[in-house]
Amino acid sequence: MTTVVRPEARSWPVSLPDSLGIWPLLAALLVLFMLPAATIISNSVTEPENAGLSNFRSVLTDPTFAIFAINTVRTAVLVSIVCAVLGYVYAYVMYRSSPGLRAILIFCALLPLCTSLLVRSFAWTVILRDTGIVNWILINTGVIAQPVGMLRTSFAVTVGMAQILLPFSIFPAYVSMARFDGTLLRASRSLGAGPVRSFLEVFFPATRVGMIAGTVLVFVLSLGYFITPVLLGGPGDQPIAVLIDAQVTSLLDWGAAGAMSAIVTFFVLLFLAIGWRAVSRIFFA
Amino acid sequence: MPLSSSIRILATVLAVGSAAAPAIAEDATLVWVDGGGAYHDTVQTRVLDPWQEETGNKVVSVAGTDNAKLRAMVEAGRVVWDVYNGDNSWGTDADGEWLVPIDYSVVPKDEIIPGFASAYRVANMIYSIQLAYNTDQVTTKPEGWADFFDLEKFPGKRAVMDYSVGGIFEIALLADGVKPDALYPMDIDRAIAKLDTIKPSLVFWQSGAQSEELVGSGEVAMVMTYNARAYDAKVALEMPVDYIFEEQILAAAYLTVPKGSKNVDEAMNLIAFAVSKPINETMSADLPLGPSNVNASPNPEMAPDLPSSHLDKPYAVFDDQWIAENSKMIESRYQAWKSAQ
Amino acid sequence: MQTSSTSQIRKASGYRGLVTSLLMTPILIILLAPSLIIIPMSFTEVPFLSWPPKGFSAKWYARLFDSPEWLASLWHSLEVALLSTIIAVLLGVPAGVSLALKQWPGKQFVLAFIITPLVVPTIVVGIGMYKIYAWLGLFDRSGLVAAHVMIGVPLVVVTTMSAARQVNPVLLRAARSLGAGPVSTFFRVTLPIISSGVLSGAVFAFVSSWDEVVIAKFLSSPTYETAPVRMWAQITERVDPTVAAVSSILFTAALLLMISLMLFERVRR
Repeated sequence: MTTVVRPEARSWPVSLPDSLGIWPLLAALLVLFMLPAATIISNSVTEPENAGLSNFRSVLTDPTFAIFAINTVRTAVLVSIVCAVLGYVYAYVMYRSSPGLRAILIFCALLPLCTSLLVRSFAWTVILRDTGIVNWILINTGVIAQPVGMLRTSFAVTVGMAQILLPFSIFPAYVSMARFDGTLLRASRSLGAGPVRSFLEVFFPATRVGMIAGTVLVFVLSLGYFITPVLLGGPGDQPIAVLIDAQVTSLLDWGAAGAMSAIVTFFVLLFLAIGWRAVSRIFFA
Repeated sequence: MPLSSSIRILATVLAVGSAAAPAIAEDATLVWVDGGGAYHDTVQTRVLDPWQEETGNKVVSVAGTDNAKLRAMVEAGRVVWDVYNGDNSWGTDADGEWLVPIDYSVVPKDEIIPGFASAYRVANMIYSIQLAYNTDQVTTKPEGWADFFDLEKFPGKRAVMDYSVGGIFEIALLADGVKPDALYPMDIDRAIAKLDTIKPSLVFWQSGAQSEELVGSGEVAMVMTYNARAYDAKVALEMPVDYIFEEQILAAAYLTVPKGSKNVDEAMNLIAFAVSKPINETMSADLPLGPSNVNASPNPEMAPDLPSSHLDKPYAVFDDQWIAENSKMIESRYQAWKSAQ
Repeated sequence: MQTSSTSQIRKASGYRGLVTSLLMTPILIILLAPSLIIIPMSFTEVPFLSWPPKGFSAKWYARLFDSPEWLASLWHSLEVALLSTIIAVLLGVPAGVSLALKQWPGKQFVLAFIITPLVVPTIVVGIGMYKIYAWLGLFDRSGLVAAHVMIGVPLVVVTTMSAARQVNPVLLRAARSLGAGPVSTFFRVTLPIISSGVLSGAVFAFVSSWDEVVIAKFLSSPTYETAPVRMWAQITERVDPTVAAVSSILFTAALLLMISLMLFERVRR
C-alpha cells in the first residue's frame, strides 16, 4: 500500500483558533437570546420606578410563591423518579434487543414527538376524565361502578409530563449502556456471579451515569412546564409558571414577573450545576 | 453605533432567506383583534364585512387577544393591532399607559348605555356571568348563587372560572347574601369563607370550551360561565344544559386602540361604526350578545337569551374600576386561597 | 448437558420475555396512547372531542383542506421549522465539534451558556424577544426562525458532541499530516463520522420548532401564524376535531416515514 501525498495540499497559511467553531453561535445566542432574556429580567429592578430589590423582596416573602415553588419541585421530583425508572427499563430492553426490535423501540420513543405537546396534554384529559376512556373501560368491564377521579390530580400531571419527557431519560441511559463493555459482564459471570448480582454490581454501576444525566435533564425541563400542569393538575399542582403567566398577561406587572423569572432561572441553573458532572459525562467526553 | 449596526447585520445574516416584514402597517389596512371563536365569526360578518363594503377600506381580523403582547408592541414601538376588543378587565384608566383615549367627537358617547364608555374604551356588546346546570343531574331549577353553594339540595360538583377577577369572589358574596349593589368594595375574607364551604367540590376551568364540556358531560352539576357559552352548550351543541339569569353579573366587551397604532383615526371611525345603532343591534343576530347602544333593538328571537332582557330579576354589574385598582390584591388572595390545601 | 443448558436458556428467555412485556406494555401505552387516541376522535360527527366518538365522518379532514388559514399556518410552521433547523445545524455543528474535539479553556462554562435557552421559562423570553427583535427588524418569519434557532441549537450541539466523541483524534492528525486542510478534514473525516448525531440533532431541532407555541404566540402576526398558535386559539375556544385531524395526519405521516426508512434499511442490508 502506497501513500500518495497530493502535491497541491499544503497546510493553511494561518492557523485557526481551536475555539473558532463556537464564536458564531455564541454571538447569535448573546444577541438573540441573552439580550431578550435580560430585557425582561431587568424589569424586576426597573419597574415600578426605582424598584431596587423590592420586587425580589415581595416575591420571596410571599407565602403563595413558596407554595407554588413547592408544587413545582414536587411535580418535578415525581416526574424525574418515574422517568428515571421507566426510561432505564426501556433503555435496558432496547440494549438487550435485536437490532430490528431496537429500531422499532427507538421509533416508539420518538413517535410521540410527532404529536403536538398541546394535543397530547389535551388527549390525556380525554383519557383520564370522569367520563373519559379509562373510566369508560373500567365501568364497561365491570371493574368499578363509579368513575375514579384521575384528572386534576398529581397523578394526571405526573403521567402527562412523564410521557412528554420520557425520551430525555431513555436516550442518555441507552447511550451509557451502548458504551458499556460487554466483556465485563462475561467476566463477572465467569467468576460465578449470578445474573442479578452481575447486573446490580457490574452493569448498573457502570450505566448509572446515563440514568442520572437523563434525570437531571428531566428535572430541569419539568421546572418550566406550564400547559400540562394547568390542563391536567388540580389546585394543589399548579407550578410557578402559572404565577408568572398571571403577572405577565393579566396583571401586566412585569416587575414581579421579571423577579420571579430571575429566581426560577437561578434555581434551574443551580440544579443543572449540581447535576452537571453526570450530564457532561454523557454528552461531553 | 458600530456595535448596534453590526448586530443588525448579524441579525440579517441569521435570517437568511427571510423577506423583510410585510408592510402591514404601511398601507391603510386596519387590524382588529378579538378573543376568537364564534364571536370572531359574528364580528366578521356583522361588523367588519359591512364596514369594508361601506368604506372600501380593508380590515384584517385576528383571533387571540393578549394583553402582554399588546404591551410588548407598545414598548417595542411596533404596533400591528389597531382595534383591540378586550374583556371587561381591560381598558380601565389603569391601562391608560398602553392606550389611546377614545375620540368622542367621532364615537357617539351619548348613545352608549351609561357606565359603558370611559376614557380609553367603549363597550360594543354586553354579556354576563351566569349559572348553568346539567339538566340530567339538576331537576329543579336553581334560583341563584345560594343554590350553587348548596351541596345538600343540589348534590354534584361545581365548576368555576379559574380567573381571580372573573367573578368567583362576586358569586360567593352574592350567595352569602350580599346585595348586588353592595358588592364593592369586596369583602374578600367573607368570599373566601363562603368558597371554603364547597372547596372540595370545585373544579376550575381555564377556557370557555372546558366549561361547556364539564357541565355538558355531567362531570359537574353546575357551572359558572359566560352566558354565550351556556347558550352554545344548550342550543348549538344540544347538550343537556340549561341556565338561569337570576343574579347574573353583567360585563361588557370593550373596544380600545393601542398607543402607537398607525391608524388611530381610521380605528376611531371603525369603533364608531361598530357601536352605531344599525351595526350594534346585529351583534345579537347569531349569538346572545346584548347591544351597548341604547337605541339598538336586538334580534327578537334572541331576546329571551339576552342578559339585557332579564334586568327585572336581581343582577349585579362588575365594578371594573375598583377591580383594576385592586387587581394585585385580588390575584394574590385568590392564588393563596386556591393553592392552600 | 448440552440439551439441558439450552432448555435452561430457553426457559430463562421465555421468563425474561414475559417480564419484559409486563414491564414494557405500560411504558408503551403511556408513550403512545395520547397520539393514538386522537385518531379515532378525529372521525367524530359532533363538533367537539368526546369519548366514545359519535358516528363516523371525515368532515373535519375536508374542513382542514378547505381552510386556507389552516393550510397557510401549516405551511408557515414547515417553513419556520426547516429554516430554523438548517441554521441551527450550521451554527451548532461547528460548535459541537469544537467543544468535543478541540482544547481550549472555559468549555464547561460555554456549554452551560449554550443550553440555557432550554431551561429559561419561555413565556418571559417571548416578551423580550418581541422587543429586541422589533429593534433588529426581525419580524414574522425571520423573527420566528431566529427564536426557534435559539431553542433548537442546544439540541444540535448536544447530539453533535455526543457523536463527535467517536471521532478518533489520531484519525484527524493522520488526515492533517497527509496534507488535508482543516476544512477538508472536517468534510472528509469528521462529518461522515458524526453525521448520525447531526441528523438526530436536526430532527430534535425541527420537532422543537414545529411544536413551539409560547414564543410563537408573541412573534406571530396577523399575516404570519404558525399551526401551534392556531391550535392554541382553537383549544381555548373550542376543541374542534379539526385539531385532531391535523394531529392524526402528522402522526400518520411520521409513522409512514419511519416504516419506509426501516424497510429501506432492511433492503440495503
